[in-house]
Amino acid sequence: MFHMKQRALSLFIGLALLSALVVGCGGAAGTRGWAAPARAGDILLVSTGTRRLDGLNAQTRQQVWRFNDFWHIEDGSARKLRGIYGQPVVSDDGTVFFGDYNGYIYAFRPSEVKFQEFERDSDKPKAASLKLGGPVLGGVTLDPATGLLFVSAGESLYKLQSTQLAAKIANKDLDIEVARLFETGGEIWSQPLLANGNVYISSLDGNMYAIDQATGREVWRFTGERSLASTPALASDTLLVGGFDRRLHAVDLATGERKWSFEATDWVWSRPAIEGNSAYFGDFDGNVYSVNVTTGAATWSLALDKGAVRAAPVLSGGLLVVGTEDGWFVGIEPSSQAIRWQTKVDTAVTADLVVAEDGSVLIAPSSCVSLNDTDERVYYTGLDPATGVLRRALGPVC
Amino acid sequence: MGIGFFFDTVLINPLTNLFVLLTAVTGSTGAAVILLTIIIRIVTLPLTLKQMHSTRMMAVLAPRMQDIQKRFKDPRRRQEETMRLYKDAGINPLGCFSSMLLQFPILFALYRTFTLTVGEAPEALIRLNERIYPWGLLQSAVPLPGEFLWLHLGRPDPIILPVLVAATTFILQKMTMMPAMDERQRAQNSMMNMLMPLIFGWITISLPSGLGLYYVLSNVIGMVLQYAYVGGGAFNWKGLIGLSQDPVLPRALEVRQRQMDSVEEYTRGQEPVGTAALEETGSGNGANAGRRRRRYANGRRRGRR
Repeated sequence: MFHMKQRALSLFIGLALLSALVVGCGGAAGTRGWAAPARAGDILLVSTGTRRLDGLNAQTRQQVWRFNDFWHIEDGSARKLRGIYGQPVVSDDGTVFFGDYNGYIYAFRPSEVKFQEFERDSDKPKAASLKLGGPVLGGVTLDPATGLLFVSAGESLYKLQSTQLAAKIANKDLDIEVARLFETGGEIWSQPLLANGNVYISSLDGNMYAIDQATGREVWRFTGERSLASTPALASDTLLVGGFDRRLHAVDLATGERKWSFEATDWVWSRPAIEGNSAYFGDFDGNVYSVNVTTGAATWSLALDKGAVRAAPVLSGGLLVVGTEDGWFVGIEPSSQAIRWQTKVDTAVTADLVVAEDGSVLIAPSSCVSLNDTDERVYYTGLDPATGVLRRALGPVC
Repeated sequence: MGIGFFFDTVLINPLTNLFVLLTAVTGSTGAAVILLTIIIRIVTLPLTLKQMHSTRMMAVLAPRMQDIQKRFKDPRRRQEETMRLYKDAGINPLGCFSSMLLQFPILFALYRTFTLTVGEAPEALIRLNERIYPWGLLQSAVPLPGEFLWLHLGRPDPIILPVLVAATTFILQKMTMMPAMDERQRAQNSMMNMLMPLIFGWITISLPSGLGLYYVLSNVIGMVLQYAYVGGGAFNWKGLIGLSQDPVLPRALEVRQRQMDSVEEYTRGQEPVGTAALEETGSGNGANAGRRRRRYANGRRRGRR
C-alpha cells in the first residue's frame, strides 16, 4: 500500500518539477530581435522586442500602427512573427521590407493604413510575405539603383527584385524570381554590404566573402581565425570586420587581402563607426576603441565596464555614442576620450544605433522599462547626442 | 548573493563550460551530450544506488507496513511504528526521492546549458560570452554547432525524441516495478506505467532536443544499472509488453524473496511489530534502537553478530 503511495508521490513530484521546468524555462529561449530603427517618410520604424514592428510618428513619437496587427498576411504561417534582427529598409515608393527569424521577408505599405476599416481581418490592408531558406538575422539590403533586394537568410545570400515582392502585396499568387546567390559554410548574421558591384557578407564559418552581385561568383574570401558575425563597414578602400577571434580585421576592398588586424580583449561584434581615418568600435569586455584605419594602431581605448558592446556605435554632434548590454548609453568625445554623459535605460542595448536626419540618435533597446519604479512602462526611441536626454514613444507600445 | 547567483555559479556555469569543453575536445555536440550524461550519472551514482536500495526495501517491507496499518488505529502510533520499522530496516523513506530531487536542478541547469550553447535565439550567444571561463580552448570553441543526427540540440524535436523519452521511461519503469500483490495495486501500476511516460514524452515536445537526448541516455544508463543491481539474469520481454504478469527482470523476485526472508528471520525471535515499540516508549530507546538497527541488502543482513 505504502509502496503505491510512494509511487504516486514520485509521480506527483516528477510532474511538479517538470511543470516548473517547462513554466520556468518557457520564455528563456525567446528570440526578441535587435533590429535597428529606420525611417519611412514621417514614420519611425522600431521593433520594440515584442516580435512586432511599430510605426511611430517621427516628430511626436506617437504610435501610429503596429505590424502585423494592422495588416492582413495571406500566408497563415507567416502571421506569427519571431525576432526581427535586421534593420528594415524602405524603397522610394514607401514600401517597407524586413525579415524575421522564421525566415520570412515581408513587404507592406504604411501609407495604406486606415483604422476605420479594421472591422474584419480581411478589411485590413494586405502585406506580402516570402519564405526563404533560414532565419533572417543579418537583414536585407536594398540597392536603390536597381531595386534589387539582397537578403542573408540561414547560410545563404538571396537576391530578388523588390518591385516583384511589392507587387505580391496586391496579388498573393504572383510568382517571384528568387536567386540563391551564394551559400557559405555557416549562418550569416551580417547585413549584406553593397559596393563595387559586389555584395560583402561575413559568416559564422569564419569567412568574409566578396560576391559578384550579378552572377553570384565568389570574387574573394577573407578568412578570420574564428566566426565573423559583425556587418562589414566600408572606409574608403578598406573593409573593417570584427569577429569572435577578438580582432577587428582590415581587408582590402578589391583583393580581400588582410591589411592589419587589431586585437581587442574579447569578441568584436559591433560594426565600427567611421569618421575620417578613425574607426570606433566596442568589444564584449566593455571596452571602446579608436583605431587608425590606415595603420591599425590604437589611438585610444576606454574601459566602460558597462557590459558587452554589440550595438554599432554612431558619431553625432561631435560625440561618439555607445550602447551597452547593461543598458547604458555613453557619450564620448572622440578627440579626448572623455565621457561627456551617460544614461541608463535598464534593459540591454543590442540594436545598432542610427543617426537621424536632425542629428538625434535613434535607439531600439531590447524592451520597455518601468519608469522610476512605478507601474508605468515606457519605451525609449531616441536620445540627444549632446546631453544624453532620452526620448520615449507615446501610445500603447509596451 | 541570491539563490540565482548560487545556482549559476555552482551548477549552470560549470555544466555549460563542461559541455563546451567536451564539444571542443570531441568536435561534436552530440558526443558531448553523451559524455556529459555519463559523467553526471557517475557523479550521482551513490544517490542512484541509494534510491534503488530504498525502493527495493520499501517493497520488501510492504507486508509489514500493511500489518502496522491493521494493528494500529491511532495515526500517531501508526506513524511511530512505521518510522521504527524504517529505522530497524536501516532505510530512509526519503531515499526513494533523493535521486529524483537531484534530477530537477540538473535538468534545469542542462536546460539553461543547451539554450545558452546551442539555443536557437542569437541572444543566447551574448549570455554565453558572460559565462564562459576565460580559457582559450573554451573561448575558441564558440559558437557551437547545434546539429547532431537529425536533431538541432537547441530546438525541440516534436516526434522522434518524445517517443524515445516515453519508450525508455516506460521500459525503465517496467524494469523497476515489482509484481502487484492485488488487483487494485495492479491497476494502479498499469495506470502509472502509462501515465508517466506519456507526460514525460509530452513535456519533451517543448524542450530543447539536447535535454531530451540527455533524458533518453540517462534512462538507458538507468536500465543498465537496474539490470546490474538485480544481478543480471533473463529478460522477460513478454512482461515488458504486458503479455505476462511476471516481472521484466525475474531475478528481482529472487532478490526480494531473499530480502524478505532475511527480515522474517530477524524478526522471528522478536516481539510482534509494535509491542517492542510500546515497551520502549519513554525508556531511553536511543540505545535499544541503536542495537536494533540492522541493514538488509542483497538478501543479507549486516551488522549483527
